[in-house]
Amino acid sequence: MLDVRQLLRTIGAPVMALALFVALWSAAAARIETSIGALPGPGQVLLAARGLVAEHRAERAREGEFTTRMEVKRRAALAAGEPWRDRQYAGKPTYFDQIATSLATVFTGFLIASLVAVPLGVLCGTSPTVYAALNPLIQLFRPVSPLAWLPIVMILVSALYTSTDPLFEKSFLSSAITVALCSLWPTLVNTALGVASVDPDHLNVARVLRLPWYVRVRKIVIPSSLPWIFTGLRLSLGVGWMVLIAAEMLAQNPGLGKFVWDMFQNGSSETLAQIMVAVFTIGGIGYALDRGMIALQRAVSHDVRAT
Amino acid sequence: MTSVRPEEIRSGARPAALALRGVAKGFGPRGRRSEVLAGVEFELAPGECVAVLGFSGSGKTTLLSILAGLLPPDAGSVEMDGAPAPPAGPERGVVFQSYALLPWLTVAGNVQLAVDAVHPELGRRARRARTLELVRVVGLEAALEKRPRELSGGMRQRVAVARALALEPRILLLDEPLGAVDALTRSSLQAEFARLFERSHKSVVLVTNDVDEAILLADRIVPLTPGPRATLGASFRVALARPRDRTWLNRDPAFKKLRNEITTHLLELSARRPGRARR
Repeated sequence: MLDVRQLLRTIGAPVMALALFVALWSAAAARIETSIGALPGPGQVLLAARGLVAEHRAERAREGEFTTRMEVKRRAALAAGEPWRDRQYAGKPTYFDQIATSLATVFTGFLIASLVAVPLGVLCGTSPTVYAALNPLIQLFRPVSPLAWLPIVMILVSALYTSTDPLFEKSFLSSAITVALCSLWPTLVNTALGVASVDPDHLNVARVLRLPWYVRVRKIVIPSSLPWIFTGLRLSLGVGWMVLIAAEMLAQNPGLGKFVWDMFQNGSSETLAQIMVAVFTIGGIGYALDRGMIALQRAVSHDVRAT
Repeated sequence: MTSVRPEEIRSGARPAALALRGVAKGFGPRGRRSEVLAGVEFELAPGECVAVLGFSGSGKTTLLSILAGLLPPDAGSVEMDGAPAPPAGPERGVVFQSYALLPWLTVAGNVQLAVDAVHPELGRRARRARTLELVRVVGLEAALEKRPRELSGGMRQRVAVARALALEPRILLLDEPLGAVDALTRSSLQAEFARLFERSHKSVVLVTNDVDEAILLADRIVPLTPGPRATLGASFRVALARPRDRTWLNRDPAFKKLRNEITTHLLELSARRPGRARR
């Protein structure tokens, strides 16, 4: 009897809430007229999603044909002894390519942020002087929106990244760095807190063993603050993913943000439905990233209570 | 290796392994400062086992931290072999009251950390062999790959002792080593420690609130007067033959007499407690 109730609560309640949401959405969609047609309901959004999948398949098929065609031509040219230059397929990125770009961008930004924030956090946590020095800067820059960082980053990237054969697109770099600047803080603050709250007895063990500082950091400080660091990383990745969409919109980095912006600009009857598909995609990926970080945190952490 | 008896020190043959001269220590901000220790004089002869006996909260842990070099005294000095003591290090092995085992390392890992720290010159294999040997000494072979949270209090205590022994310290400092262990485990561990210390011929300082434990393990017992401004009183010599067996001691008249004397002395000390006298 109790089990049934438990089951109803853990599965039934979310299903009910979801059903209610869809019902309200459908009801609203039928009534609201916008400048570019009626607000799409769940059915239309599902159709739009299918359309995006179909488009992706068609594009991949065209790319496949192009590659085989080029391969035939290349062999013919080589056989005839003519010069040959490979040509890149120049089709437009599909919705899934855009998702891939967004993920690559967010992980690049997140990686940059982590590489800066964790060592800096360890430094802040071990030295009260460093913490006192950096704290005002942290407090000053932490609340800054990505929309404020982006123009500065774009101009700096243009000025400083002047390779003739660039490995990365400038828009990609600008978005990634903006993501890094915004997602730095949770990891930095949490790492510093975690390091500062290492059990003093454990540090005394390090002193009795006369461990050099790098062994102390590697064997005692880092493992001990790992649960804190991972909480920070998880928050950072969440912030980074949220910030990314805005950064891509403005930097024109070919990811989900640009997709939303382009849809908004072209204003076709499909627009709203496709943007809603993007909203659900962004939400779903954000949720998956968070669950992934939790799983990772559990795997590496000695603290079984980590949630 | 023969241990040196305290008599030799007094005759000036060898300096004390560890000594405190006029040590004072307090905590807290000015105005609301509490002076924990004041005017502490202490000498540990090489090879001697001294028990510092005190009520809980009387500054035992503070005293031990100062002896270990983990806490600087406000006044006075710490000496090793007649010279100012160096910073905390492996020559003074500490068994912490809370064990201070690293929860993310296994039993072997915790001991290995200490072996690696004191024997960087040995190869990987030799260090591993040393670790296994130490774990065997404290009888934990079966729990080699377990983590501290999977162990009982008594087992954790053994790991902490193995880690301290891994340092090959000349002086072993034990902070209420059996304080957090249940009564049954306590008496079996006491017997084990007694054997271990007799064999290792180390100089040992043991801080405890258990009179029986002090008599069982120590050559000399020094009561710590109740704080604030705690200090060490006159010491009691424990002239009982070794090995000392707990069940046998309980019937020994000399043991009973000594226990009585010490208990009475401690009660008198607590009655003269400055905090109470003022009230």
